[in-house]
Amino acid sequence: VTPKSWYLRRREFLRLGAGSTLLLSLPAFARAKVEHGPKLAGVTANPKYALAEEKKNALEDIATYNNFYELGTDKSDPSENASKLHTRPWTVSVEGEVGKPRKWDIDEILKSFPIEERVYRLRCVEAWSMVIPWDGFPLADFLKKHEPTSRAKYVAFESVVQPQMPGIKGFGGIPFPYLEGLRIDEATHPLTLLAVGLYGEALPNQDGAPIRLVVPWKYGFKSAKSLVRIRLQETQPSTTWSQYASNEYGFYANVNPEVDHPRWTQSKERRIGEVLRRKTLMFNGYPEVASLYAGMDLRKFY
Amino acid sequence: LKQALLPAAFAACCVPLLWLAFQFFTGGLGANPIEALLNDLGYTAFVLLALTLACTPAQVLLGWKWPIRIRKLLGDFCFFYACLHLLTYTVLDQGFDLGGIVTDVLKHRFI
Repeated sequence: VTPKSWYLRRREFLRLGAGSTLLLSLPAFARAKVEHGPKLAGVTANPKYALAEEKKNALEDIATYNNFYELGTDKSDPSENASKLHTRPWTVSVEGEVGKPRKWDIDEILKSFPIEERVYRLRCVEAWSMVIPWDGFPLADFLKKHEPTSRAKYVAFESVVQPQMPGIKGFGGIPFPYLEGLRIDEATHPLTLLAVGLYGEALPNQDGAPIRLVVPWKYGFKSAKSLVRIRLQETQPSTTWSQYASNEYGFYANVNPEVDHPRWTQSKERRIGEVLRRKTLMFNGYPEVASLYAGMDLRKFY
Repeated sequence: LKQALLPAAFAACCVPLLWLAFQFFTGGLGANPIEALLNDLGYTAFVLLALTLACTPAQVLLGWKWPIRIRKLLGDFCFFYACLHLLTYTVLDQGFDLGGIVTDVLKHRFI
């Protein structure tokens, strides 16, 4: 039983509780300050992908509202824990069905490929979207250097796991490293990008530094972050989310307003910065990829 | 002291609303303020529901009488926050697209 003296002071406790809650949440006052990465040298804008009709999201949006579970599951966690990802030294290993497998140092990659700016829509499977000016180069150019063999039918991507990352113990049983995959024709499509920066600066850690995949016609989770391994193979790779909940997240995960997620509609999305939802576009507004899926039932291969 | 209980509880129940309003207008809710508002209002209503329902057990099990005196207030505020939550969903989140809301709820029953 609560001692009477405590009981009589109950409201002091309440006040103390309310006061300390308020104090603890004070840091939330100011929006997390975004650290700017070093400027990337020699970035040229590719006019074909300028996407002039869309308004770009500010770096503050792109770098504070992230899904990167290895750094925490809240949208603000990855930016708060960004320093827990160490991006140097960094090696990207290309292996499997290639004539020339190679381990790249990230700085070698940055010097070896001309970096262009491309403005892409990004549509998250959670029904929000952004418009992001990525800096990068086509994955096709990168793969070609390694001479894929005729048995290279799929490309598997593996994201980094570092012991100090706060989320790697797994959220509700999600195993890390994070794995993603593409069919070879998707991987070598001209739209598919390896991004190393945004707004002309090196990628913020929370956005998948130092190098990440960007597949603009697929839900955002397909665009694996912080890549350490790219493996070409004959069989379809298993991918993290489709392993975790195969009825909710498929291997293809093309943006499709007609195929709902079992738990919510995909017909609309909120563009970050806007209030009312806008209609989601087929293939996220990239109709040129439709031929990749000719004859496929996109309800079955979601 | 007894007389201060009700006003104090009333003030405490207003804190989440004032806090959210302040955050909403100063950009503290982040890149997707509507989602944050929706979740926080729903969470507040849920906490108040739990507190409201805890009043009677607190009396029966612990012999406390004071929670009973603020039970009605807690329940009213729970309803108030639940209404704000629902309003945020129908107006800000769905843009008053009633047809869309009905389809969404029917197709995804767990909601």
